This record gives sequence, C-alpha cells and structure tokens, in this order.
Amino acid sequence: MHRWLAVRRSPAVLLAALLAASVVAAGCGSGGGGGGGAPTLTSIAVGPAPISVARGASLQLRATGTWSDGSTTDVTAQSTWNSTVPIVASVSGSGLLTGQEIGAASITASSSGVTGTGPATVTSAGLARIDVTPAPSFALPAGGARQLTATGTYADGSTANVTAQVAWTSSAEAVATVTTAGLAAVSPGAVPAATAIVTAALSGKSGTSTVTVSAVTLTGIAVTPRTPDVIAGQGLQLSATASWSDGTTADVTARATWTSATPATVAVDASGRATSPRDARVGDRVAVAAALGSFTGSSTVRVVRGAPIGPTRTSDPLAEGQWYLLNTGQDAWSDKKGTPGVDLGLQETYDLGLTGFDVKVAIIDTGLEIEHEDLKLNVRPGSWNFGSTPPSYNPTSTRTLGDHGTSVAGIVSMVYDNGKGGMGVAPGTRLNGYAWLDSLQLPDDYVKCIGNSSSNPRSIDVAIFNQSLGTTNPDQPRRLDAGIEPQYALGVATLRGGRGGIYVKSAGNGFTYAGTADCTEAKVVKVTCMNASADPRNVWPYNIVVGAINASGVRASYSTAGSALWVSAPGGESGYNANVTPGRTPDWYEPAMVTTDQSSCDIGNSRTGVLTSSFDQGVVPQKNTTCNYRNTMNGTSSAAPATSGAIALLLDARPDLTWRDVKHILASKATKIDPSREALTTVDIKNPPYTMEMGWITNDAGYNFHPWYGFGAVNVDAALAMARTYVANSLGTFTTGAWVASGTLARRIPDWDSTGVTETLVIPASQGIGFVEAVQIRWSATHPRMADLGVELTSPKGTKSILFNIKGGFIAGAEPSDMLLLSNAFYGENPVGTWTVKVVDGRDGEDGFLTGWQIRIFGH
Amino acid sequence: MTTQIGRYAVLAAIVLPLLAQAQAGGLPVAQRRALVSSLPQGAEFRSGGQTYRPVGGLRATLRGPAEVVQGAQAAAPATGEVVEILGPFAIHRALAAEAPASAATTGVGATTSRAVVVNVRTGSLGIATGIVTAKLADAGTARAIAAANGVTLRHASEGTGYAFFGVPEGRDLVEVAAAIARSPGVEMAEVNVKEDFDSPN
Repeated sequence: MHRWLAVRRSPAVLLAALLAASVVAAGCGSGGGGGGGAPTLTSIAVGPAPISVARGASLQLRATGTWSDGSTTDVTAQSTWNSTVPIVASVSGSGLLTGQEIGAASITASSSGVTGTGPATVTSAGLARIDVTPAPSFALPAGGARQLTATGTYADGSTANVTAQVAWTSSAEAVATVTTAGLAAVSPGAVPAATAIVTAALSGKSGTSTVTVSAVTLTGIAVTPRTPDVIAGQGLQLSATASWSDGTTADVTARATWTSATPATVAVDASGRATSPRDARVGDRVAVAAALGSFTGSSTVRVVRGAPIGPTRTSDPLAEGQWYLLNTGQDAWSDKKGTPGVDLGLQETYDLGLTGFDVKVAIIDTGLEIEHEDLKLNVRPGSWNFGSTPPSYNPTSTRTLGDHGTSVAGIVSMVYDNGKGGMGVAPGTRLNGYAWLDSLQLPDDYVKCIGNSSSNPRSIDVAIFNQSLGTTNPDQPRRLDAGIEPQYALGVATLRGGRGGIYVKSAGNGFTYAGTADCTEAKVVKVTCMNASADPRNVWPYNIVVGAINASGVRASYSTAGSALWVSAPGGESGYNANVTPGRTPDWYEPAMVTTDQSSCDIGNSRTGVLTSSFDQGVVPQKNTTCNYRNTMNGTSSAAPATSGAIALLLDARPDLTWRDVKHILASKATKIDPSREALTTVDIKNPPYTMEMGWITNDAGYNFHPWYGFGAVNVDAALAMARTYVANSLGTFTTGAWVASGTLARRIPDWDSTGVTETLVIPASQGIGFVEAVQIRWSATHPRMADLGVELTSPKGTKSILFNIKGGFIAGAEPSDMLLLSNAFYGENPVGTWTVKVVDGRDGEDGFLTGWQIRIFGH
Repeated sequence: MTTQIGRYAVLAAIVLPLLAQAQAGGLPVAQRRALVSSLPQGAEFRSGGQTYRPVGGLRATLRGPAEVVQGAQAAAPATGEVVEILGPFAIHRALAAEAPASAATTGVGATTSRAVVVNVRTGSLGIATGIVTAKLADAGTARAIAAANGVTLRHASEGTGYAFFGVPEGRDLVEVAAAIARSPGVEMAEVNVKEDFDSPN
C-alpha cells in the first residue's frame, strides 16, 4: 500500500489522486515513498462487532484500516476475506458473511500485509412458530394415549424437533393429560366426545392440537414376553400393549400400573422392568401384571440361575452320545441303542440354567488328571495324591491303562460348551481329586478325604464326596477302619455350615462276579452275589448308596443289589463293538458312559489298538481322535458320579438343603423303573416257596422300594420340583436310636427250610423316633456255609425287607459276628413296636445257629 | 485265592488290573491256610472287634506300581515266595531275620515290610499297616501322647476324638497300642489291620 492512498479520504478525491500519483511515479522512475513521512496501514478492524449471524442468514462485513497517522479508512473492498471454519461461517470475497451452522469461527480481512480478525458466531434462527402433530386434532379412546411431536420453525425457514424443549400443557386435565415428554393420554373418567387442547410452548411461541375422546373402547392389555425367564440377580424389561375396539393398539408400557404377585421373588417397577434378587428361588414363577383402565394383562416370569444349558445346546461334540443326560435312543458308539427317556431327567433343570455352580465335589478315587482339556477349568486347588512319593497336590495317576478317577470326574464335571468332549452332569461344579485308592489306603488318610482336613487335601469345604470305590473281595464280613464312621457322622453334622457333607457311594459291581467271592450259585439262581451290605461303607445312613441302571432302564448287569441301596442312576453296560471284540454276551454291546479318559492315544482306556470299541481306539467317530475320551466307562462307579452331579444341581438351586433333605427328596421323587420286576422265589427248599430277593414293595409310609433300585432311579427334574418349595431342615432332629439287643442266643436255623428261625425285638416309643430313616441290624451266627443264610426283617407295620440274601458269594468260614446290615426299605414308617428277624438256611447240607442280633433305628 | 476274575469289575474298566494281580500271585486258599497254621504265631490282640495273631515267617511288602503284576514278586525279598496279594501289598515268606511273630514293621534293604496277622476266627490274613488308632477323650492331647510313646502323630480329629499314630520301624505295634491305651485320657487304642483293600467299583 502506498502512503498516498492513505491520505485520500473520499472516492472522488481518491480517483484524482490515483491519476496524479501515476504521473509522479512515472517521472521519478520510482514508486517508492519519498521522504515526506506518508502514513502506513497499521491495523485492520473487522466489523460490525460483535459479528453474529443467524444460521442461514447473511451479514455484510466491513474492514476498517487504521493508518500510522491515526486516520482510518474502509478497506473492505481491498481486503482478502477468509473464514477459519467455513462450514460454520462462510465469507465471500466482498466480505459477505453467511451462517451455515450454529457455531463459531474467526473471520479475517487482509490487506498490504496487515490482517485483521473478528470472531463470528452463528446462532439459531429466531423461532417463528411451533407445530404440534398430529394436528389440528386427533382422537383417543378411553384409556388411550399417544405421543405428540412439537416441531419448531425458525426465521430462516429451518425446522427442528423441539418436543423435549417445549412445555406441554392440557387445557382440560379431566379429559386428557400430557406428560412433559409429550405423551397425551385420556384421563380416567373422560367421556366420549370430550375435548382438550394440548399446547406446546417455547420462547413465546406455541402450537396446539385438540384431543377428542373417541367412542372406541379399551378391549384389553397384553404383557410381553408372555413367559420370560429372569436370571436371579438380574432384570428384564416387560412391555404392555393395549388394544381398542377399533382394532388399534398402542404401547402403554409407561402408562400401565405394574404389579408383581410375589415382589420378594420378582419385583417390577413403574416402567415395567422386572428384577429378581440374587438369592431368589430358582424355578419359581411369578405373575407380573400391567393394568390400564379396567383391564389387566400379565406374564409369568420364571426365575432362572442362568442361560439354559444342555446336551442339545452345547458345542461339546460328544454330548450327543451322553444318553444319561438325554436319552434319545442313541447308541453312544456301541452296537446297540438305548431306550428314549431313560436318563437323569434334566430337561427342566437345564432350562433353568442350573449347572451346580461352584458346588465343590471331591472325587475320592485312583486319581484325577487335573490338566485334562475337559476338566482343567473345573479343577480347584486342594487336590491331593496320597500314593505319590512324596505325596503331592497333583492327583494325576501314573496308571497307563486308564485312570478310573478321571473318568468318574468327567461324568460329574466335564467343562460345558468348550467345544471339547462332552459335558458333565453338573458342569458348573468345582472338582478336587483325592488319589487314595492307589495308596496304602491308610485310615487317617481316608478321614482326611471325607471332610477332616483343611489342607493336603482340602476337604473341609467340600459339599459332595463321591466314593466310586468299595471292598475288593466281598467274600466275608468286612469292617470299616476305626475312626472312619465317626468322621462320616461328624461330616454330616458339621460340614456345609452344619447342613452336612453329602456322601455318595457306589453300591458295588458284584451282582454276578465279585472279586474272590464265590458267585457260582448266585449266577445259577440269579440273585445278587455281593449283597450291598457286604461293603462296610454301605451300612451307614450317611452314605447315599447308588446302584446302576443301563440305557434301557433296568438294572445294569453287574449292579450289586440289596436293601442298603438308596437310589439308582445311569451306569451303562460296556459300550463295545462286536467288530472289535466279538463273541461277548449281548449286554457288552449296549451303551456305556461317554466321559473323560487319560489324555493321549498312548495311555488310558481309550488308546491305540485297545480291544473295546472303535471309539476307544480313536477311530470312530472322528470326534475322539485324541483318545482323550472313552465310551466304555460303566459300573456303579458311574452311577455314583451321575448322582453326585444330580445332587450338585439341586444344591445349586437350594444350597440350604441338609444332607437328609437331599436324601429325602431323592427318595421321594425317584422313578419306579422296571415296575413289573417281581420277587425272586425258589421252590428248591422245604416249605416252599421262599422269596430269595424282594420285588417292588410299597411300605407303610408309601415309599416304593426294590433291592435292585432302592427307591428308584434318580429324576432330577422331579427332585428339583420338590426341592424348590421344600422347607429346608424340616425333618426334625436326626436321632440315632439305642441298640436293642437279643442277648446271646442259640437258636437253631432249620436246614434248607423256608420256615427259618425268627426272633423279635421291640423298639420302644421312649426312643423318640417316629420316622425311620434307616434300620441297622447286627447279627451273629454260626454256620459252615454263610452263603446258605438269608436274613429278612419285618417291621411293626408289616413291611418285609431282605437284608441279606441266600446263595450269595460269602465263602466258607465267613461267619457273621456282629455283622452290620442296613435296610432303607422301612423309610418313613413309625418304628415303634415289634420287629421280627428271620434267618433262613436256603441250601441243603449244614446246620447252624443264630447266636444273637440287635437292631437300631436312625430317624427322627 | 480263588481263580474267579470279576468280569464286571473289568467292565468298570479299572478294576481289572487289581484283580488280575490278585490272581497273579499267591497260594490257593487251602494251601495258604495250611502254611499259616504251620508258622509260629504271636499273642492274640484285638482290632476292629476281631481277634488276630501276628504270624511269624510272613511279611507284607509294597509290590510296586499298581498295574505291574510282576511288581509283587519284584518287590519281595529274594527268598520270599508270594503267599497272597492283598491290595498294594504282597504277603510273602519272610527272610529269617524277619521271622519272629511280632507286629513290628521292619526294614529290609530299602523296603519296609509290614507284619502279617491272621484273623483267629476266619483264618484270613491281614496286614498291620504300622498305624495305631486311638480314641481320645480330648484330641488336643494327641501330640503329648505321641511324644510320650515315641510315635508320630499323623492326624487327630478334634471333632471325633480319633488320633492316628505312626509307629517307627522295629517297634511292636501291639505293645505300642497297649502303651497308648494306658495313657491318660485314652479311651481305646488298637493296631490298624487291613484284611481287605478298596478298589474302584
């Protein structure tokens, strides 16, 4: 900028000056300033300040230059204009500012190296009017409601939704109300054709719409979802939809009045959100209602523990073969199929999301492969290996032909939905393995295993103790080591905060073969060779003694029978394939249990070249190429963990159940399987017939009992249904009655005569027991062949139970001397009165004597 | 020992090895009983309601890995004919140095052998495991009782009052049990004898 430009102040003068300047410049040969001190531009101001324009509007800006002599001139036209944020405020080359979006920007005007800046603000346009829709009027039925919308129109022509900004009012609250959010609703009692004007107002502007109460009537209200599940400790949003006589519907969730039939279990707030406390009873169903006008709709909310699980829902590839979870008649990769429905009855239980979550289960066994891919996540610290040198925390077995404990553990707790193997009956449980069987089996170690140890192993916080073990040679009376029975008694009294540890015990696999027992006659007459009472752990009420059924729903071929059984559960047969192992009897090819095996194809029951099944060889199906699983597990060893898992599921739903509650519920809800199974009698005896083995009976208290099955097969869904509403610890004080003894006897047992010898003892009312939970007898006899002898007991109510069957596997010389027997067949009966014991010699040849007996009642 | 192998124990799939071992070594029942009756027997003692006598000339030795049938013979001293397999133990003819009919554990080389006892009533053999079990009026006294009797306290249960003492090699278990039984506050003390071991089933 030349200084002379600055001295001219009017356009006319400026033009003359420009011409003169041109001449001077040409004559001098230079445009440079002379020494006269012509003023220079020192600054530019951008205005008019403050620069503010409404969005969509324009404003002509002006640049004012200030010169070094203090004078000012308008340099708008000479300036170059720019905006720092053109999308908010754009400016033209002539300085015309246009508001694009609400916001701020800086506008610059530059000339002769001098720049001036002015902050510009783009504001909303002035509100010109408000429109309410629907407009100008709308109709609502009685009870009806409608969301209104307020739209603002600005001076620049733009519009915006101002529903939330406006103030809503109704001209007649008795006819219609409107919420601050614009929800218009017909007031209770409003009559048809009544009207109210709803107004939305903002910044001095307002819009209206007229609501008219229509003649249509509310016809109903429905709540959805109809039968939802709510996870205990979480919430669920319900919706209410009203219907009117003209066929219209509307969401009235926010307007309905919500109530719960049982708020302690499922509460509901005014917005229709249902919540359930964390300790709510799983499986409870609560009606939640929404009311509007004179109508009420409801849904039934079910409390669940978590998302549904189950063999049909999991990614675990072998679950399809786990007939014991869901029997669809599958073959479990054996040669034969099972019978649909013969399983643990888990459908409802799994629907409720019950997994046995955090229920601690100890596997007292040969070992437990704690790093197994399908167990590892469920193994907790506290395992122990009594057999290693030195003893260690790692119970992984050194066996190479299969680890029984690892297979037992899988039935309880294979990890759920990890895409590997199968799923445990209770896959949420936490496992410990106590490798005791492959040790010296010392009594103090066993005491530690069943709850009397806070470390090495940690058993003190275990809920369920699985004992898939038993006497090797039930060929004579056996006894528990001193100190073990008292620990059982202590465990049921003190563990789980006094609710009692739950001891699950396999009955035995001695129906036809039993170690060194002589089963020759048993096999001929088809009675059990090993009586369940031959195992000394089985004759105490603390243990839940479990027999095994196969996939067809009858006693597994090996399952030990006897009155000491409590229930039965799936144990399967052998799972073999004839093309691998031909020539066996048919039951060998029936389904066994699919479960975990020692990892790798080099060791384990499932391994390269093993002669059991193609599955165990890792050949068929391709799902077991790792040989980490097997389809040939069986035995009451399997029935016990199936039951342990079942109990864990119950405890997941009802952790407050005592050990006796659990027994009571299992007994009460067991399924009477094989219902036509009759007593086994013989006529090969004097005064025939003689019942060698009982069939199903119904005792005086209404409980079914069979020596093959106890009270029947475990049915988890049925047990859960009972457990849900069961009053925990309601059985009364557990009482161990005093022994009532005969004293020394010398009663001859007639040889080979069903008449036998009978003796009676009286349980007095003074013992204070009115409900039998178990009956124990202790008997002594002399006889050259104890296997000839059978012992039956008849209660005061006339119920008969055979506690020890003739033609069992006891060897010569194995005379009973205070031998304990137990019967559960009298469960629930009143024991007061006369009990009759009868000892029968069922075989020709030798005489003997009953030398004494005693009886005691466990109950309340 | 009979020759019957439990088929359904085989079905249980783990039992087989144990049973196989049970059949693999040992004498027939009649021969074993004849042998036992010919051997010197110690004084009677009571355990678990049964009456036993220590049998001289027989010892029980751990037989090695559970699945190794040959373990029984391998673990037995060179002169020790296997008489019976009982759980993890092989009962075998004892070396002369072990022959006395006492319920004492003895060391033979690197192996500790247990005393063998016979059930007087049934004729069955049992093994004195080296533990004395006692019922105490107060389990809190177990440590003092152990110290006073020169034994090791393995475990004591406050809840039940039972204590389990390990008896050092060379001491007669029956004598130790009797000494413990005489200690103040001891209601019962007995030698732990195992006639049968548990198996998976």
